[in-house]
Amino acid sequence: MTTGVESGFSRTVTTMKTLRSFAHGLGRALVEPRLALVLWAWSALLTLPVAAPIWRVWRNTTANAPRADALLEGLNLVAFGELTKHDVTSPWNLAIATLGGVTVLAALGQALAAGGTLEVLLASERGPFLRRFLAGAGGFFWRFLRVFVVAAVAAGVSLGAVALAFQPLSRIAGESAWEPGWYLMQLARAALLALVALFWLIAVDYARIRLALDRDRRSALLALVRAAALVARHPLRAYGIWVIGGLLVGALFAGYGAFRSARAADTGALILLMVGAQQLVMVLRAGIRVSVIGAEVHATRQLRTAATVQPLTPAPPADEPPPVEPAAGPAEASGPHDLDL
Amino acid sequence: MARLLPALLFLAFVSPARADQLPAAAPRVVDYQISVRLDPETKRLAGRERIVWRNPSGDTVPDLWFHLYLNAFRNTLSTFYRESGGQLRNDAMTEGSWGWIDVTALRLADGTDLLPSLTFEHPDDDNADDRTVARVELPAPVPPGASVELEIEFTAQLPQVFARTGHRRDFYLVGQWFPKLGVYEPAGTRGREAGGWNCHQFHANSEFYADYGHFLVDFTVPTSFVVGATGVRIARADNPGGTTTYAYEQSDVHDFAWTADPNFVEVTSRFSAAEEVTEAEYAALAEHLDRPVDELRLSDVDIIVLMQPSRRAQAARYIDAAKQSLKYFGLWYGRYPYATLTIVDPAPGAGGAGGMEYPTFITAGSSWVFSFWPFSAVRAPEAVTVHEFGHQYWYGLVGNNEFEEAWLDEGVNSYSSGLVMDRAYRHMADLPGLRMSAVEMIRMTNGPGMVYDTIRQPAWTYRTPGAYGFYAYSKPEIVLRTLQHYLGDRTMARAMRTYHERWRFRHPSSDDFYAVANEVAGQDLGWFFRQTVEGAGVLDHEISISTKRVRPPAGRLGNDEEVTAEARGEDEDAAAEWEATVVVSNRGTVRFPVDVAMKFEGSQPERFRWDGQDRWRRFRFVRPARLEWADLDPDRAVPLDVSWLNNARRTRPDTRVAAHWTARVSFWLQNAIASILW
Repeated sequence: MTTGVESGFSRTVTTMKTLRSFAHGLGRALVEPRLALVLWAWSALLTLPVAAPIWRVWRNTTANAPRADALLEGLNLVAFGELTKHDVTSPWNLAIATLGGVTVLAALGQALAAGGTLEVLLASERGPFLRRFLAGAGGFFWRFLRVFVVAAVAAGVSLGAVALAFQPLSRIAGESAWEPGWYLMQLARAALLALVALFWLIAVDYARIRLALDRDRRSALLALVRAAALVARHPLRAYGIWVIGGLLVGALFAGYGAFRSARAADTGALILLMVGAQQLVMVLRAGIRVSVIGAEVHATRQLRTAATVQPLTPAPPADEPPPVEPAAGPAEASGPHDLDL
Repeated sequence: MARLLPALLFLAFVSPARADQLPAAAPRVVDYQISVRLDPETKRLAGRERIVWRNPSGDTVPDLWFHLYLNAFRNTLSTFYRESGGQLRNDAMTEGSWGWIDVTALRLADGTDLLPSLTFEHPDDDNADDRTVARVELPAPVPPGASVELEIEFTAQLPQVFARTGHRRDFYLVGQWFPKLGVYEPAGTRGREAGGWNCHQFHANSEFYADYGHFLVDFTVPTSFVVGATGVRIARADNPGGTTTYAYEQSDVHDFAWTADPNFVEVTSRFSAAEEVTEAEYAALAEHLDRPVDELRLSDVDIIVLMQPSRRAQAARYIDAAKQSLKYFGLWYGRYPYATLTIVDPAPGAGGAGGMEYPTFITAGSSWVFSFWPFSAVRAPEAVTVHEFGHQYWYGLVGNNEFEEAWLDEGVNSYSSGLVMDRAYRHMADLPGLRMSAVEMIRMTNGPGMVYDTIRQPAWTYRTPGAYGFYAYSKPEIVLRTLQHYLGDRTMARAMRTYHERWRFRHPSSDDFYAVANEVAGQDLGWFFRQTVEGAGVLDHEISISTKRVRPPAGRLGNDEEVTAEARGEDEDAAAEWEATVVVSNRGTVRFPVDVAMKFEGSQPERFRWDGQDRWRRFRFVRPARLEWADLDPDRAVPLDVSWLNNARRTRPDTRVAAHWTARVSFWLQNAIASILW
């Protein structure tokens, strides 16, 4: 049983295990490509109501205005400035209000999306995809939403504590004559805040995986606490999966950026090509997210299997050989395991 | 004779202009001899000052008026504090870090004590608690052309810097630190009917105004401090006890500032006119300005840059900007007449001292991050250096009243330094989407709602601090750029050069500027200045177009028979011409002529001129071809127009821009939504 933080000499082993988990997750994503498509479609659907007023604003302002054509070449702050000279508040207010509503829907929807994804990834029998997805989305919704809410509160408190702790340090750095010190302090603060935020995001994932694996109807808070403990005990593994996913997403956007900078989308055909590329990025991004979840499921099972199980039978007599330990390997998908991980 | 006296006295003070039309020296109205000691523990100055003031007018002057600027930071009752709330630009006063200046002795050279007659005046707002202006009654008035000599002792407390002057840790920027005489304006100066003191209180949105003269200043600081100041260093003496006294001297200026910081890294360079300006450039400019080449030649200048250690790598940027400024300001308006230029890079946390001008001495300002991409691609250090150097010309050499007509230095300088930035660097930032010229950047600050104030009004009377920034800096630049397009580059260049030459070492008003412009342009530009400088209106040209087919006439046409096209056997569409209606209008109130360009299908663009005098005008054109587009001000010759977007219209909508940007914005929104959703 692995206890505490991995020691230095096992980091390589942990890295290999992390890569293996991610490879497993990637495999699962490729086996269930519809998951990525559903997640992509969901995000696209929520974006459409916001895009409509945005289109209206842009069309009304630029369709008959040749001087706006400079914006076809890309970002142009001067042209943007011109767009704001006359009142366009009303449609922008509509866009902002719609965005607010969509954000709330997305926040609620993330519990559904997680439930559907985990049900598809964990189900041992293969039934119709949509039935599995919807069953999971509905079946886990309230538990997963509770996990999210509790995690959000915990994240808020811990982020606030980090920000507060940095205040006197920032002040000291600001008083110093060594100017780079202040900037480095801000970088350190941003990095620590990002690590803390990521901690809770990862903990939410593991709490949900645990609840889904165990079909556990117990307290969301308990699940979250145990998940947080798991992340704290296996940070390399937990953060490592997200780092790999993050690097892949980064590469994806770098590729998109390179594609965009090759030629400005200034004709109808090129604009359509740009939209196609954007949505391809979103599909692939959804696929990476599915891979991350799949990798976390794999890691959860591995860590459970690696944990020592207390024997229920009395110790054998001294002249008898000790009982064989269970072989390491992925655990069964169903059945609760009351293991403290 | 009495009426001629001011003019004769003025001529007595001013050396006759050389053949190159630049005055050789300033009138020596005031001499300052100051000794001061800095106490780095208490951040206080203890100073002795000897002032000789020469009456430049035809009046007998019974009193002297002084500025005591540091008293603006004395307490929360000062006019400055009441107007600003203890904040200037983005810097706030540090609680408890007050600044003040106390005159502890004031006497004539013969020992007559004048301190009992010192009173605090408040000519602007009747704030009896404000102590930034003092007046002293003289026992004997000063006759025209005569002098009076004073000896003053003072103590000054420097605040933690937030509004130009003060300290931060061991960094000191010492500006507006000594009792400084106001300006006695003779009758005829800046339109005055009678002579009198011009000495305003220190406001949140005002700067300074003083007379020309000679400064000899010595200051004593800890030996470890690196120093810089207005003028030329003429002496340095190490004292027992770990201090050093520096002496600086400068003539033909109206202010003196200095700085000290043990952390400064001094970087020197030299502007060599022979290396920086080619004969071809002199020749081209001579032709452009219609001046002999010898009149345009520049002088060499020593450049001293005092950098913060962490920004040492940026010194080259400051030096390059200084050289570009010395070159172009010198060529366009007249050679820089001083031997030195000192540029100060304020310490971290002392940004309030940055972006400020003093004669031969400017503060710039940067940040450590500007050493690294992408910040290094933003020309902020260059822009601030060019702008603050430009004040050597507008405020320094041409000494306008910054209280009453701030635009004559800030606005004229924004215009001039914008031209230098265009010429030397082209873009304000070298990053995608941010490549804009100086005028493009400035135009972004103008809008249809900027109708509350005017350019020409006292600095402290603007509606908001932001309004001061717009009307003193941005709008004048836009106005002068528009004037340049209207008059043409050459006429504008000659007008500006003439204005500078004529008013170097003098105190002009807006009317003096207008007079020079009218004279050089050979026309009365009053209609332009009244609307743009004196008026609060905006200019917002707009165009709308429509097209329709013009069919042959049908109906009851003069006899009993009704005619239709079918009856005539005509193909309606083939026979139809197009009627294009172009309506040009002005949503603002400033009238200005402008070109209109149009293009019909199958033909080249054509132009006509609208005089801009009406609120709107409708033009109809009947052509065989359809109108494609119309463009009001196709050459972008009217930067004053608050919006260029509504200046052009096309008849066939093109939704590519809408599709492009809806897709881009939606993509990033979709990513944000996805980050929440999954």
